[in-house]
Amino acid sequence: MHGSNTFMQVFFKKWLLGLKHGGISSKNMSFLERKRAIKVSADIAMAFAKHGRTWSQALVTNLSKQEENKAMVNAIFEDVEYHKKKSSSSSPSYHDKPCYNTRSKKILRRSLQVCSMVRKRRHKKPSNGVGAKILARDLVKKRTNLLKKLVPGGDSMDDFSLLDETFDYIISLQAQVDLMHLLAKVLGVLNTKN
Amino acid sequence: MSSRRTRSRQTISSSRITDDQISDLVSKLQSLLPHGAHIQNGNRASSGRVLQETCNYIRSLHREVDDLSEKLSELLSDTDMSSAQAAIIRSMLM
Repeated sequence: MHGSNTFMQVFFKKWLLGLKHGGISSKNMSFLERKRAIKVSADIAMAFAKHGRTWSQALVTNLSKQEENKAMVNAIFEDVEYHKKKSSSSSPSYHDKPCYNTRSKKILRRSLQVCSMVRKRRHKKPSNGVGAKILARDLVKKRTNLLKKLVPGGDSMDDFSLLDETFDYIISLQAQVDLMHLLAKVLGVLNTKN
Repeated sequence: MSSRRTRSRQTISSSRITDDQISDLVSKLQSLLPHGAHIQNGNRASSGRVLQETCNYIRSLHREVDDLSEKLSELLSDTDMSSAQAAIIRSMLM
């Protein structure tokens, strides 16, 4: 399986959290609604597990643009462990507001800031210094532009960062596929036993 | 005058760093691709090919995720919730 153990654990845990939040075991959900919830929660969980990366920040920002995803983004980025620790250390009071400055919320806020900064940077003159020599040839340039559209946040990356981010993105996608295969296998076994 | 000098200095130093690093990254990417071993054609000549295969691979991974989401959607609606094992899954997902 690709990816480190911790990454997979965080990814899977957050994905299950997202699935729970999406209410996917409800009988009332349509096939397509359930599929959408599964996919979106997997994407958000993947981005959370790889926070700090430009592509993961861009992915969360893009998903957050759609109203129906916002609740799940908040659910996955909400640090429940932090809340528990906070409430146990201080005396319980109904006036205690939950601390919204959790680590996860900071990550979320930072990722939205980065993407607005990145949008501003796009309006400046494109700096072609880094790696432009190697990837400047026409055909390669065309393919680089194609790659930029496939990797979240790729449009505003320089060529070098693009390759680096692509590498990490592919590894994460492979892990996402592995996890989905695993869950499908488990559920498949359950179904045959019944 | 001074800004022009700093700009040219930056370009020189950055291209000195990135030549090797870029080809390193390209070969790293190549190793990720499913048929990465078959694109051996000299380092620089194949970077375009690696990029192309990378794009194709990402697209196929996206498709696979989409297909698996559909498969999971079916499985989760079919899963009989009566057995003990199903109850465990149920408690994970509900």
